[in-house]
Amino acid sequence: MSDNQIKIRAYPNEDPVLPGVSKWFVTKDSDGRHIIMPAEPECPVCDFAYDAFTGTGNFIPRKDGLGKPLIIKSKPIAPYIPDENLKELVRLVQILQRPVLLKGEPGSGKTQLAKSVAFDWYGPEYQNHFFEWQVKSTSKAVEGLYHFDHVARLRNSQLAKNGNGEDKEDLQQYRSFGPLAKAFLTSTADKPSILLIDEIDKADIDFPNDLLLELDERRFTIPASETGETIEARYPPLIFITSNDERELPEAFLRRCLFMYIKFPSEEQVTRIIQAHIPGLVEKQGSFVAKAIKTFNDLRDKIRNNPSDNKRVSTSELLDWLRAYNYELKDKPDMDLEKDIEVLPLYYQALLKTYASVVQREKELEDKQKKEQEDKLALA
Amino acid sequence: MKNNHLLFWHFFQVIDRTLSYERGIDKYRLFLQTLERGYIPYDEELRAFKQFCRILYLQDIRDEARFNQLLDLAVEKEQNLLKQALIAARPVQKPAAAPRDSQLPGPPAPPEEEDEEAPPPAPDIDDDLMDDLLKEEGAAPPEPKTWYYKTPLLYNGIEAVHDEKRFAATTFLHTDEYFSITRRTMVKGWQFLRNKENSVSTQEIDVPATTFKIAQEGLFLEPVYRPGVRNREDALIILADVRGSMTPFHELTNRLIYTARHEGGHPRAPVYYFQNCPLGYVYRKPNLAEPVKIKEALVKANRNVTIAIVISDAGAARGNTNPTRVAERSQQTKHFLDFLYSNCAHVIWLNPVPKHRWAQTAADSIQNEVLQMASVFEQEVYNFQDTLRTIFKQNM
Repeated sequence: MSDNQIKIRAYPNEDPVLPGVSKWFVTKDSDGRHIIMPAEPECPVCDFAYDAFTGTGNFIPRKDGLGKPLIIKSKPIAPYIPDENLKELVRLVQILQRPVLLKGEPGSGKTQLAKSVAFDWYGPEYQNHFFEWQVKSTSKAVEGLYHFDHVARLRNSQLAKNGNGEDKEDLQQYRSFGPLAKAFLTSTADKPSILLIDEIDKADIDFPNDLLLELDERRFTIPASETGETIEARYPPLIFITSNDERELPEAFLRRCLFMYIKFPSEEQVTRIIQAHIPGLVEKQGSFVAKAIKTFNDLRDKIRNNPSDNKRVSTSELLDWLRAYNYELKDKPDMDLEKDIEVLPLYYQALLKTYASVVQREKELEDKQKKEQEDKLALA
Repeated sequence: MKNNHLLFWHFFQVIDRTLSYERGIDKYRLFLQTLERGYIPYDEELRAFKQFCRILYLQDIRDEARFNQLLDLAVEKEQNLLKQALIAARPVQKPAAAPRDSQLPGPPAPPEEEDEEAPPPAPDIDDDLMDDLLKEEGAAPPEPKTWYYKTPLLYNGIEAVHDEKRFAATTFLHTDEYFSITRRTMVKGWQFLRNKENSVSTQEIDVPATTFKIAQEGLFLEPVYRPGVRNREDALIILADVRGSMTPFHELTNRLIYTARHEGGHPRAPVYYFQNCPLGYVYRKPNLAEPVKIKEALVKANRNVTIAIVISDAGAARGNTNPTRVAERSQQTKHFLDFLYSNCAHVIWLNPVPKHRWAQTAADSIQNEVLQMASVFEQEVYNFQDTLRTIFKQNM
């Protein structure tokens, strides 16, 4: 960490009217009010180009037949509302220049954070600065760095031998870069790249260890038998690594990482998140949403204490569930929501994900009804 | 740092010792640099500072409660020095560059407002005052060398009793990590005992083999793929002594078995239980139900690979030194060990009782029979890992 190099970018680029929300997600509705909506940026289509002379990579916009830049409307990006801890984390990651290990319950927004930082900083061009590496159980560390197409090379050498191919071999044509290399190549002090290594715990236990040097020194060398190039980052990219805790990560790897556990957000924060994801629901049905959050929190506690049920529910389940209600409301505007939430809730499939929890919930309701009947009898 | 006092070094050592996080001096250096350059905003309760420590040092959410306790204690100890350092760092940062677009919070609270004892505003702190402060706080206490058999939290709990709130905060452990050997140590130890074997092919091309094939066949038809590797399933067999003198160690035994079968990388390692010494039968369940013949239990063991792990105190817990009893027990155990050796490559005996209690018990007489008898509860925490690492090397 040398002081004069560090540049700290603010996250999020807040909207002046709605603090804490990235400006890209704020639009004006017909009444001129500022509301939070998912963003659908129009992204330029770019091709990655590697400049072997300077050892850098950049993205060149692709043009259509008339010479106009090609633009594609991207998938909607859901608004992300970071809490204070996450804002501080993003600031510290820029200062400390270490990869950060994100853990948290499934659905708590681990993966979303990296993308949201990239989108917040670069807007529609975020795809040129954001690199995603989805780790699979069979992933090897080298896959994130580069791929060398040996089969093509062997085939071409066969053709050359038979006199049908080119004589001179350009080895670089067989080599393509992985997300880690692209993040290294494109990162600059003004525009640091963002790399997401998703679900690192899925791969073999040795996988994180194989990345130690690359993460530490931010460089790697392709063996001389292939192209012999050395890839080096000019400025450290931001590296977010997520893990679902399916297995313990090696000590040497943990030592190099910063750590953050994304907790279930506070009630106030949850309301903001619901506001952002399901526009209009909180405004129209405020008391229902409050009640739904309470029911949801009770359910979370119950699941936590229930040994037979280990599928924890988190923010994304809550959003799914409320989205389902919101959909229903369109058809039946006079639905009595508050009563409904007491019984086995509509769309419980979004919340209760094991047989055990459904059975338990049904039994609870039965008991409750029985008790009510008994009370009635006793009164009569 | 001034006066050779390494700010917060003590805390760094404490977490290394208590939570068994690997010590990395680079993290401490990062810590100091960040502090000195004024990147950590100052607030009265040092909330930002604590959050910074958590992000930098914490490695596992299960340790969070314990970590927070340690952090609070450490902050309390060096509070004044920390505040000084945080305030001192601020003005250096300010004129250095325009605020850029960083979101540094507003100006620090003027230090005069804190309280009368607080040091004067800081850029150059007078050395005498620093000395006083150091003395006053006892900021660099001598390190106690031995610390075993002590519930770690209570060592400074005595004066804390007077303060009700603090007592409540420090006396009750919210974690079950109270053994001198932590879960992570166990996991690391077990991981050394993994053994690889070839499995189905991967998608990786074996270039030399492919080239060789082309040379043989005269043309390129298809590439040769490298075989994959996976963990052997017969690397371990665990035999655990339960009940009787082992009762106090049940939690330890369970944890050893759990870590081996989960994060330790031996998900299918068979586990059998016995009491005192297996005589013909071992049991599948810890309550000594479902008996299995020893022969049957060892049927999957590979004589070249499998390591038998026996978890037992071998009579050392009770300290019964009656020679006839010891002789009888040793005889039985040796018979059992012979049988193990005819089926397994090595036997490791994990003894929960410290070594100095082994004298004149069965543990003493059989420790030469096994490859290694290791005390899991010895004061040197690394004993367990070292043992397993040594065996791993011998196996290679």
